[in-house]
Amino acid sequence: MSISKDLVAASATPMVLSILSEGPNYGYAIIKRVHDLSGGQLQWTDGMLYPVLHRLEKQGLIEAEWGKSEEGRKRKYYHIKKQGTERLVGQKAQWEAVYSTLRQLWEDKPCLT
Amino acid sequence: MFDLNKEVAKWKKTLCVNDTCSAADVIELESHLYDSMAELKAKGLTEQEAFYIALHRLGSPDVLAHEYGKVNGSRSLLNKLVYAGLGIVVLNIISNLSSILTNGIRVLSFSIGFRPKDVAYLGIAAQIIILLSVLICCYFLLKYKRYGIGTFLSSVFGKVSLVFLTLVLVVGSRVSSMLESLLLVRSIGASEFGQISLISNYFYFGYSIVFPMVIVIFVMVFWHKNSVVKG
Repeated sequence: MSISKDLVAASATPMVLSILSEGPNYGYAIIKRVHDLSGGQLQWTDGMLYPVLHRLEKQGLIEAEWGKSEEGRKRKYYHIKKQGTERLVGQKAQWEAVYSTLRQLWEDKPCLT
Repeated sequence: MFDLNKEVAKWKKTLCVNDTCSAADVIELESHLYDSMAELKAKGLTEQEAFYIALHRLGSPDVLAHEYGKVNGSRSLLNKLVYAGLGIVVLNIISNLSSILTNGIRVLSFSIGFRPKDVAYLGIAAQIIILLSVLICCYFLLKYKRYGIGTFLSSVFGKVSLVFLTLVLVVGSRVSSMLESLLLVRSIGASEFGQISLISNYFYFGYSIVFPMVIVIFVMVFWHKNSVVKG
């Protein structure tokens, strides 16, 4: 099973903000972490992450800084800003509301399939 | 024989063809490509295999351009228009101010006792020095942009007062350039003024073409350099 495109797009912001709330990180590592945590079910086209990151940066939720990789290549690191942490709290509440609603609906029925 | 550097360079050329992403975005994607390849190679793939799989995972340049365009597209067009408009205003102000300065020097040198011919050459030299100093100012403004001169200026003036200031400068320089021709004719004398203008006119013909061109080339070179180095 792979998760639909719309859902992947919708969940991108809370995913990125959550990962960055753990500490500064860069694009490739963010994608890898999402991939690993979802057991490969959440498939991002790698390049799509960057426009998302740039949008969050423009919204003032995260900030970017050039750094260097272990091999000395240029690498852009992102870290979460105060507004980002605040936005994440709001996003969390929304996703939990959706999740809890679905949970209750599904629990009422003994079996779906 | 697979040449990685060549292939990467070829791929980079296909990115951002529509100007939807910057040179910094390309560096970021390239860095990602190498990270992705390193992991694939660690799993035992050859360099060529790793390259093509990493490329596939990044997504096609068309799709990437589309996604980047969503973030940068309309904004960048608007930005370009605003910058172009600002450029015209600034150029107007600079050329008016420089003509005021030049005429001041002409009046001064004439009153000291220079002949009209020499006054004209002095004026030309003044124009060239003004052009050079404008370029040097631009260079330092752009160079230290990252240290927040722009932020400092905008915080001091604010957007509304910046527009007001620009308006005052444009109108003010127009009015003063009108007044100064009157002043010139009165203080130098119509016949000598005519001689000076005649010589200067040959120079202005070239100057009016060269001055904007030099500014445009300067900005383009600096813009390119800046976006590559700093992003």
